[in-house]
Amino acid sequence: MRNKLEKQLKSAFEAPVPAGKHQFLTKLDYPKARRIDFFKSQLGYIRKRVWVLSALLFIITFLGLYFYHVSTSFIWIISSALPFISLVSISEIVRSTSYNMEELEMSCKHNYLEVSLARMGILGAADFIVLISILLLFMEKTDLGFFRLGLYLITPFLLNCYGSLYIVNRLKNKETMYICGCITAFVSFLNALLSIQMSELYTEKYWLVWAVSFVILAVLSGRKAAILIKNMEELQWNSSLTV
Amino acid sequence: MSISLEDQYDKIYRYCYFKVNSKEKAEDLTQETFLKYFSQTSYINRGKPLAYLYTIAKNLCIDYYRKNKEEEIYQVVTEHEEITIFETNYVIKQAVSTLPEDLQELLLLRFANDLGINEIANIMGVSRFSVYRKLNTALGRLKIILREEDFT
Repeated sequence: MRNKLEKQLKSAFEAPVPAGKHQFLTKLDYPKARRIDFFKSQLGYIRKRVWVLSALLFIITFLGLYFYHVSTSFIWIISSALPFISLVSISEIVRSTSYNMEELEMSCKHNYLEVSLARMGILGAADFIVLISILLLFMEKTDLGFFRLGLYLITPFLLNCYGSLYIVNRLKNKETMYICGCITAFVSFLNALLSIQMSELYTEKYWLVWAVSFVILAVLSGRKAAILIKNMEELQWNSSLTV
Repeated sequence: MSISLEDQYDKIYRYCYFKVNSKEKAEDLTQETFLKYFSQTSYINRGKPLAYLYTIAKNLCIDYYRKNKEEEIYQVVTEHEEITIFETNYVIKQAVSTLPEDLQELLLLRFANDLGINEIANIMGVSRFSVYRKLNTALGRLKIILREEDFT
């Protein structure tokens, strides 16, 4: 009975249709949301685990560098752990595509592409800050230069980015995240295995191999990211929008 | 929190109409509410925008009453004319109109404008507990007036 009464109450307060609503709202000069507000709003949607894991890796590296004896073996440990940061970032992108969030996001003021790019931008910037911070910390403790150290740390990270983006572009189901997790584990394991098996991996001998691998993986990852963005652009004109 | 202009315009208009009982005046007050709301943006980006919007509307309605005490009598007469237009809801409208003004306002905010208890508490400046209690009182009184058998 109460529910029926509550429904009836809505009609009890019916008012005549306002005559000047449309005209007033079209002329109304109201403050539009700024780009920075949009980014701030997206920041809130990124899960806390992303920040916690990134901070954790940074803190562990920091403690490892300052309180324990550091050798070049520490490079492979960190470079093996870095792909997990990109996995956490990838998980944010997968979340949108796998859990049917596009419809919600597309119905909002900003389209799916804008929302995704904003999040990717925030996550990319966060990853970049963590990587650069770790690099700078490392530089003080090893005699390797900034670029060489960068190659050793970022190449496995890029390999993981490429593999994960390849999967994200191909699959759009809930298992995508597990496959990305497997790729990350594989990259990390491969990096650790190669570092242990090949004692000269971080020497001048393999410098060129690292540089070529870095460039190839950077180009491939960039291409996969471009495909991902292109797919999102197509989603704007998806037939689901016209239903 | 941001607000949907289209949606809120209708709700504020309904609120003002409930307060002043005149289509034209309600629309004027609604538009004035939005102009005042957007005239300074320092509060709306930080505080409780919905409560702020309703507070402006409420104050404008109070000002209107103060300035137009004679008109008020005229509007009460037209209210009866409006009721005949919505004949199907006549009974429930009559029942609601017998309730005190604050309970009517509460029912409007809760059931016509679909506001949450927290938002109503902010707008009316009372506690959540008080909102719940008043809502139950209002619904209880309505049930008695309307007789239970009419709604079972």
